[in-house]
Amino acid sequence: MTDVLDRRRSVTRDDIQPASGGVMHILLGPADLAATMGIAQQTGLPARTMVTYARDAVLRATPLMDGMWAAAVKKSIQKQVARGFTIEDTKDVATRARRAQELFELFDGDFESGLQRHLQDFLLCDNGAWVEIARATRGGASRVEGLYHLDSHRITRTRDPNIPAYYQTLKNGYKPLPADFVANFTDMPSPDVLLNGVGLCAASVAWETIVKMQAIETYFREKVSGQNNRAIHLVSGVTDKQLKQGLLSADADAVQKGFIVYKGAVLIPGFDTERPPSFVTIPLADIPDGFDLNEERERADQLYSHAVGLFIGDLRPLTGQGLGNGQQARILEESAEGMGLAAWAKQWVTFTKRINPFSTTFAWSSSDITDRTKQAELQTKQVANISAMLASQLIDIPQAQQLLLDAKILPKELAPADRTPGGILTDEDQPSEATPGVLLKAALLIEPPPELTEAELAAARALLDEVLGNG
Amino acid sequence: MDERLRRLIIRMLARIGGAMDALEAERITPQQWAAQFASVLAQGHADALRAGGVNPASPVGRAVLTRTVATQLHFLSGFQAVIEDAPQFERGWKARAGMYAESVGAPYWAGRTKLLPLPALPKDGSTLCKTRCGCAWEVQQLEGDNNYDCYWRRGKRDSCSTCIARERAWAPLRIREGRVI
Repeated sequence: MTDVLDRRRSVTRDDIQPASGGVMHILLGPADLAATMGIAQQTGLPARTMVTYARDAVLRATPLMDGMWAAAVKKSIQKQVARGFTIEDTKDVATRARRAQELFELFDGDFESGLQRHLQDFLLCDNGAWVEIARATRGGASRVEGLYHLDSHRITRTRDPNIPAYYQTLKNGYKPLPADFVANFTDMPSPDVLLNGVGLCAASVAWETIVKMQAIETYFREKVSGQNNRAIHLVSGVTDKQLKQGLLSADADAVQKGFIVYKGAVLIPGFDTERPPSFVTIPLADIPDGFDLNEERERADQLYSHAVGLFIGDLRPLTGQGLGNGQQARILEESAEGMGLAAWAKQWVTFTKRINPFSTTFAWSSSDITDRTKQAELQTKQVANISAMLASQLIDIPQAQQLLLDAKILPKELAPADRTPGGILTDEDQPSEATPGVLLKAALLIEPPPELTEAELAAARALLDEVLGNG
Repeated sequence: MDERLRRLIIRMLARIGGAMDALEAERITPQQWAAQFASVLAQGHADALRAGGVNPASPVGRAVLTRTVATQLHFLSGFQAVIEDAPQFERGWKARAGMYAESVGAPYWAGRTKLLPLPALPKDGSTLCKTRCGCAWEVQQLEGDNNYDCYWRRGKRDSCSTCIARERAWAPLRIREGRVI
């Protein structure tokens, strides 16, 4: 897909820089520098520029920093992978549907693991996720032979719509990725032309919270494990030697008792009887006044769920927080439908239109119980409508069966021959030779013959007239 | 395989191969190719019925041929749609076209079995192996009027599950007084 826009009449025409002979980075000025350098760098996140490697390297490691963030990313990805997909061909050409099914089933080896790699890049890289479209020839319209996940770290963006990116191979070579051979999925691409479409991924959005939660969790972990120096106790009336002896004695005592986590109290033997002991404490690390751990965790969970497009109830139970009743939970769940990976899922469907034949469509299926309930409710209404049409004799029984078949309420096996064109394969369907349904037909000895149309019969008669003469 | 049928298929393969070569070289459009292909099919099916011993120009012969040719035209429209949608010629199409050549087996066996009311014929597309079917009908005429015992004989060791099931079920298929019982 080359640049479909004729930019000659657009003020953006000079923004296009044809890429040739390698990767070229041109930084013409600050790109949201105040935000990136001034604030985010305080937390250790590199600036957001068109060269994404340094920043994305940090963002990609974020699941290793905070367990709850890792869980949110994992759950969001697993929900998407578990959805599955359907392939439908409106012309009922089984070969097309099967080819499309194989194309997606074999995405980067196999669909499930390929999609997990792809979605991690989408959620954890400002550079987004990249898919290579391997074609049979160099022609941009030639047949698609495979889809491959490309490591986002190895992709460098250009400002050329015909060659939007370069891929750095493991041998340090750069391969151009023409627009017809690559697809990019970026979350919230920047409107800044100098950023070349670099996005703001979920990890970017959640970064500050991740860092804060990591610090909080580290503090509490160290506190309960007794491995930190929480304070300096100034003790007078005790010699340095006595203090060291006491510390060694406490460590040895703890080891002897098999304590791993808790060091216990430090006992210092032998006071200097000439000076009365005194005791002063200087806190080194302590939680601020009014700090509420649960409140911080709740806020973090909400931000994580927003960032990765999860329903908050997927991360923490809603009971006891005023949001626990079913109605409120449902409202929150429905509001989460349009977030995060929902946008990605739409991008993916649009992408499939680029590589599928015109009559073949890709759609995500749903494994969610709410969606299935809605589907059941819809089917109940459809059955009621068709029953009413049948009762009022607007349609007859075969027509009613056909309508039920088209609405996917009646299974094909229970209906007479489908007279409406269209074939569907799901990601769980096997090629026809192996399906139980086909084996069942084999047991019946005869594969159902095709439903011949009057036009086909007339065409056959006309051909025979040509061959045999009008007789 | 029956020698006459083998020769018929070879002749069909040559004709169909010519049409595919013309398509590959872009001497003809997919639409022209489809018209040429359909004409080759009709001629081949008529020849096959004649080779099976039935006059294709007779009313009953025409009725049989109308059905077998229309069935192939049905599949051909799907093939044509694939070709029209594809950006370039694909090598696999020649093998696919070859399956149409083998479809002449259906009218051939219709003739060889004297147009008996058999539920299926080899290569008529009603098996999982479609026109690649290597099976045959063995018909034994019995005493009386229109009494036959018909055996579905497998000709290949790698028969599909439909053919294996047929061999068991139709051993024999009994036709008495012109009707399957």
